[in-house]
Amino acid sequence: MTEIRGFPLFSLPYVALKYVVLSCDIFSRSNLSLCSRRSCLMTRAYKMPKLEIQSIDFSKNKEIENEVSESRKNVVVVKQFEEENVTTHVFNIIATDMKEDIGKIIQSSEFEWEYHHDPSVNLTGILCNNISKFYNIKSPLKSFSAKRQLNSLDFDHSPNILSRPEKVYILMESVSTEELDMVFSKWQDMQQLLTRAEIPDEYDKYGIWNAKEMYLRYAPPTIKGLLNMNYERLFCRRSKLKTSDLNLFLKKWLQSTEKEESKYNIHEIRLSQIENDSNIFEDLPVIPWNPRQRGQFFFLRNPIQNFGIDCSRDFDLLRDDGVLATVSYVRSPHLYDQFYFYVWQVRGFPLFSLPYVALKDVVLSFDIYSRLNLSLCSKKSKSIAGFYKMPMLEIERINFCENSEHIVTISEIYPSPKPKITHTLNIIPSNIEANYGKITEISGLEWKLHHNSPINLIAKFSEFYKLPQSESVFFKRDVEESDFSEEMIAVFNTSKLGVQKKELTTEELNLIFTKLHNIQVFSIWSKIPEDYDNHEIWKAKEIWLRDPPRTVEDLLRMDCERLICNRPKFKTSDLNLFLKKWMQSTLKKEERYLKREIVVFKVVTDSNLFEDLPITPWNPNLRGQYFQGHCQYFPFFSIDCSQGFDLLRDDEFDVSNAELLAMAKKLRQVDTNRARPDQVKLNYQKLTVTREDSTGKTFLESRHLTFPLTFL
Amino acid sequence: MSVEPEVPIVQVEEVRENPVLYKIISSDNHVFTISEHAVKLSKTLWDLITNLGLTAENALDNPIPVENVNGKNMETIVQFCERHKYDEEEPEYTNYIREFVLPEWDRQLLSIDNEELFQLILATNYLDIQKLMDYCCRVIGDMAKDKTPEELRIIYGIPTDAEDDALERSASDSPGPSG
Repeated sequence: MTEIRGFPLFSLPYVALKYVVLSCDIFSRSNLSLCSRRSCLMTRAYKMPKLEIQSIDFSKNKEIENEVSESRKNVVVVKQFEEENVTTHVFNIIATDMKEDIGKIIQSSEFEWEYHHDPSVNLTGILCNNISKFYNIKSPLKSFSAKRQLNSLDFDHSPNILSRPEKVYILMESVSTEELDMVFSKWQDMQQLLTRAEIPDEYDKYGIWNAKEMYLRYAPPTIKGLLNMNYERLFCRRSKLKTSDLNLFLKKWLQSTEKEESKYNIHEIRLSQIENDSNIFEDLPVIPWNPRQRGQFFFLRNPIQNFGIDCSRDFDLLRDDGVLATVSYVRSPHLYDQFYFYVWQVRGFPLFSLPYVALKDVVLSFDIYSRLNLSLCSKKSKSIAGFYKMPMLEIERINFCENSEHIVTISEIYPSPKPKITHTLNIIPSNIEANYGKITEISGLEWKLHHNSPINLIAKFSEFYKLPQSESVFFKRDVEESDFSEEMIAVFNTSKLGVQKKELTTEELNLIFTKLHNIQVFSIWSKIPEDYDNHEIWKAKEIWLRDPPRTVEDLLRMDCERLICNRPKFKTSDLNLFLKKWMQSTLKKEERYLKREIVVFKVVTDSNLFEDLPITPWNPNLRGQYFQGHCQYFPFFSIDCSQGFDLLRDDEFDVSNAELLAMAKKLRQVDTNRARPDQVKLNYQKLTVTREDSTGKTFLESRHLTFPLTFL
Repeated sequence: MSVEPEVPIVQVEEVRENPVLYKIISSDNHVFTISEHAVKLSKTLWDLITNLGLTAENALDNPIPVENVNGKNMETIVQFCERHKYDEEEPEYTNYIREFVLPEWDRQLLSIDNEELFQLILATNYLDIQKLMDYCCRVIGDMAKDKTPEELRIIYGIPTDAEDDALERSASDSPGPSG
């Protein structure tokens, strides 16, 4: 007979033993540690993985089976963290009465096992105990769920870690008093509890219910439950409660106080399916909303919910200890009546009672949007928010987008050498009043802000930070009159305006040029109406057009220094006509800009451009070789005009004497060295004597020669 | 009269190279020991120590009474000063105190309710501890993050304009000190 000898594991060289231990799965390694003290030392000697028991589900092995012990199947999910990799191990622990199956371990996939065991043993408890002890798991169990009847065996050997599940889901359709006792006596520190089952009428141990948030399909049948359970938030979809019960609950709440020993205090209750049998507010000292006592909105802020509930029309109850609650009873004709109870928790930080130094530091620690929001709270807060050193800001760009969003680019400027910081603010229109002014950081320096009137907000922003203009404004949506309201100084004073949308209407163009008088650069990447003929009102130093105007005369009508037309439209014959018109034209007095450069791209040649034009080749005595230009894209550039032809226009010099006298007066006013009245004297020989007699004559003579003698 | 320590809240582990310890008594008679480096963070206390001429020899025999700060706040202050006693002097921020990153340890230390935080700021202001003041103010400033003006009004207990006006009216209507 051959003797079966085990593999001499512990005789392996150090390196080999290390690799063997590290190659074991988490369960085998913990099992190996149980063999002996030496094995325990060996298995612990090498790097231990970081584990977390994610969930334990008590379910049935087969759904069709009755609730018998042998149908028990517990699923334990353990997560292993290795740097950024997470491996999920699943242990299906199945109780079986079939003796041949007991002790079987089946590996169904790389990280999933089935353990068949004797129903009289709580293998789940033992496994979790071993794993949590061996791997020193400290983090609490994330979730526990029960989908089958529970018995006392389920909680034997429960290690500490199982006594602190974060979330508990009781998903059976019915639950007994014993089961509830079992669950709530074991677990005292839940973050979330969810039950589907109806609570038995005779159940009365609500005092041991302890969870931050409770989601119960069925509310406790009596108000005892509401009063005795320890929770922050309670949500129940169904209820047997009546308005008379809730009236009593409110009275009891008014008489209660916050207990120090309570882990949680009530923040919010929502109950549905309330039977209306009496006035819920009967004999209660309800008071309407007083804005001095609380805000308009009750805010729910957690990873799942993030909104405010308008409580302006609901009634409040003020408890003797100063705690304020709002009661809302909603009756809907075809729906169930709802009961909402909100307890106001926030006791404001007395910001304005801080010492001067601290208040200053707090205000200076605000980001630019929070500081603006502070200024919008009240007149006093506005003066405080604006009192301390203000950040140096610039609005670089305002984009009016198609979806009514406004994208504002704002720069925070610091003294050199610190570079400026540029924020992008997306202002999103919102109908929810509670969200007005709410700002969230999307990424880095990009922010999202909700507001009912984005325009209004930009106006307030520029007013508070004293920003007189936005460097550029860009429209991707229709231009509206309200965009140029008086409050919108940032838009009003912009120097660069761009429009990029499908089509611009005559009204929009007229609106732009009648409202904005200081445009330096105006670029249009939109279609202009075919019949548009109001180019006389166009006034901008630089005009960039995608589509050229209707006729070549329009090129002359616009009041600008530079004009660039990108798309093809004109032929050489058109431009010949344009040049002839230009030759006949003169500088108009009402024009602000002298046309210096007109560029027309993609010209079609159909005739000689210079036909019948008095062109002359370059004469170096008349002009230089290079035309110096600058535009927003190329600050300075020179164009060689030695090969081009010149046209000399015969402009009229039409100036009146009165205009020349006015000009002389102006020149005299700006002359810092001019003689004061007492320094110029007229003697009997009608000769003038000035403070500096030698130069005075020349000065006077020159004046006389230039202006009065010649023209008067 | 020497005051016996009722609750020795903070035990300071002093570094070898600087064994000088000082005793501070809070308004509620709690006694704290604090190292020389840590106490230097408080301009008020350090001025007091230098003016009183306390030395390594007599420091522990002459506890410093601080009437304006209670034990709870003093505990936080001593913890903070001990934690930051060897911090390098940071270059002064030029513009706004939001420029620094609030360390997690300090954020945890300052995770206290509003009333306590307010009292701590008053104490910090009295003891003139610039760094703690900056950190506290930063915590208060961070309360405003992501909040609407409506929320800020509640968070900071900012009265509405109507309420301010009513307060002003009642103040002007009430008789002065002379009756």
